[in-house]
Amino acid sequence: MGDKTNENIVIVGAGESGIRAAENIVNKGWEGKIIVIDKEPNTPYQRPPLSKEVLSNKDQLKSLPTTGYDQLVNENVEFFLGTQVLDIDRKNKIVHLESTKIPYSKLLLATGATPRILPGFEPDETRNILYLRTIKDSLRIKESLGKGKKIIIVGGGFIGLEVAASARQQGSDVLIVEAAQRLLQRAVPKEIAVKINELHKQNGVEILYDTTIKTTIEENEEKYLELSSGRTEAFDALIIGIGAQPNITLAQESNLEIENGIKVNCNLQTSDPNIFACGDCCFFPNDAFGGQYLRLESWRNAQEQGEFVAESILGINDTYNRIPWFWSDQYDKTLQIAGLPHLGETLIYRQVSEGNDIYFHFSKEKKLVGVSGFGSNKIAKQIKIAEKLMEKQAIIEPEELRKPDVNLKALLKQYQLQ
Amino acid sequence: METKVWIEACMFDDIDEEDLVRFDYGDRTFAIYRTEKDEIYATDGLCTHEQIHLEDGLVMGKTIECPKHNGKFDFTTGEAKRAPVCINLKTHSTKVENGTVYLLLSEEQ
Repeated sequence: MGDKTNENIVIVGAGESGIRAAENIVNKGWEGKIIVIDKEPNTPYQRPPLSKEVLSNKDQLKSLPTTGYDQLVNENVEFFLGTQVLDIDRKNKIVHLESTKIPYSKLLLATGATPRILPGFEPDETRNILYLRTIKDSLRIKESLGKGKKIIIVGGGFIGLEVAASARQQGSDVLIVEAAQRLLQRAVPKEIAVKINELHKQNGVEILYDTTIKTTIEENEEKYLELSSGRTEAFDALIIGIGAQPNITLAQESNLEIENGIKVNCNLQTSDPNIFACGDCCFFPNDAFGGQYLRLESWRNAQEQGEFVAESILGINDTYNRIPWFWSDQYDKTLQIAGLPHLGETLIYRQVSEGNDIYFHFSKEKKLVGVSGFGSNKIAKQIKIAEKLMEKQAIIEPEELRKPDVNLKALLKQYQLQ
Repeated sequence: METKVWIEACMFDDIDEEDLVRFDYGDRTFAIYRTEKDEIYATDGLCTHEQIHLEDGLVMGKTIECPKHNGKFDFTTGEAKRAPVCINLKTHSTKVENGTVYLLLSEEQ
C-alpha cells in the first residue's frame, strides 16, 4: 500500500456501521491512523436490544457494547466520543471538532438516523413524550414502564411493536395507535401483519387502526390524549415510533449530493471521491435489484455496508449487492425478512412446521425478490437459503416452492453449480 | 481433575447431509454436524454472541450461520467468521462406530 503511516481515515459515527468499517479497515492491514468520532458519550453499543431486552431485562446492559470495539481500542483506533463534528472542510480535507481539527485522506460518514418527530409532539421528558434511538432514550422509556402504567404507542412499526411487547412484559397497559389500516404496511405481507396483530391482542395490547393523535390534555396532574376518533385516553407515557430520517446535516452543509439520504454510488462513495457513506444515513444503489436506490434502516445493512465500504475506502472496487435482511422479536416470536418483499407480485406460502410460516415473494418475471417468515428460529434456515437464491438472481417457477417435497437447499445447489 | 470420555450422542443417519443436529448432555448442549463428504464435527451448541442455539442455523460447506443474527463460524475449527460473532466456538472431537456418533467430552470428577 506504500507508506500510509501519516494518513488518516476519519469515521463519523460509532454505530454498528462505523465500527464494522473500522474493524475491516484494520483487518485489511491499513497502516495509517483510524479516528472514529461520535456525538454520543457512551462506549459504542448495539441498538437492537434497546427496544427489546434493555426494556424487559435488567442484565442486558452487560452485553450491549458493540462486538469488536475492545479489539479496535487495542489496535490503536482513536475514539473521540461525546464529540460533535462541526463541519467538513472538503477543500483542505479537514474535519473540525469543537476542540481540535483532524486532517483526513478519506472520510466516512456513518451518521445514522434520527426518529421522525410528530409535529406538536416534540420529545419532552417532563411531559413523558418519548422517542427511541439511543441508550439514554431506552433507559428513560424503561423508567416509564411498570405494572399498571398506561403506555400509548404511536405507530405500529417495528419499534412500536417491540416496545409494546416489552411494555406488556413489564405489566404495563398498552394501546397502539396506527394511522394505516394494518400493521407494517410496506414491510410484511398482509398474512404476517394479521398474525402479528393477533399476537399482540393475545398479549393484551389494544390496537387502533386508521387513527391519529390530536392533542394532549393535562388535568389535575393526569395526562390524556385525544385521538382523531374523538376518544380520549389517559396515559403515563406516550412513546412515538413513526420512522426515522437520515442524519444528513453535515453532508448537506458540505454540499454533498443528497436525496433520500446521502447519495452514494455502487462503491458507497459520495459525490466527493474522498468521502464515503454507509448505514442508515446513505441512499445507495443495490446491484442485486437492478441498481435500484434504497435507504435501509437495519442492523445487518449497517454491518454489511460498514464492511464493504472499508474496502472501497482502501481502493478495492466492487459493486454493492448484498441482500437486505431484517429481524424483529416480539414476545416469544420472531420475524425475519430478506430481500425486498414489496417488489413481489406473487406470494407463495410454505409451512416449515406448525406455527412457522414462510412467504416467498416473486416478481412478474418469476425472480425471487423477497422472503418473509414468522414463528420461531425454525424459519431461519429457509430464509437464509432464499437469501442465497436471491444472491444468485434465481428465476424459479413460483408454484414449485409451494410443494412441500421440493427441497430448497437442493434447489440452491443447482444454482451454485451453474 | 478433568478426564475426557466418549459419550454416545446420536446415530450418524440422524443427521442430514450438510446439516446439523442438537445434542443435550446434562446441562450442556452441543451441535453435531455432517458435511457433504460425510465427515462428522461437533461444537458447543450456543452461538458465542447471544447464546442462541445453533440447531436452527444453516450449514453451507464448513460454515454454520447462526439463525438469529447471522454470525458465522467454521465448525471444523470453531473460528468466528463474521460479525457480530468475534469469540470462537469450542470444538469437540468426534468418532463414528457402527453408525453411532460419539463426542469426546470432559467429565468433572
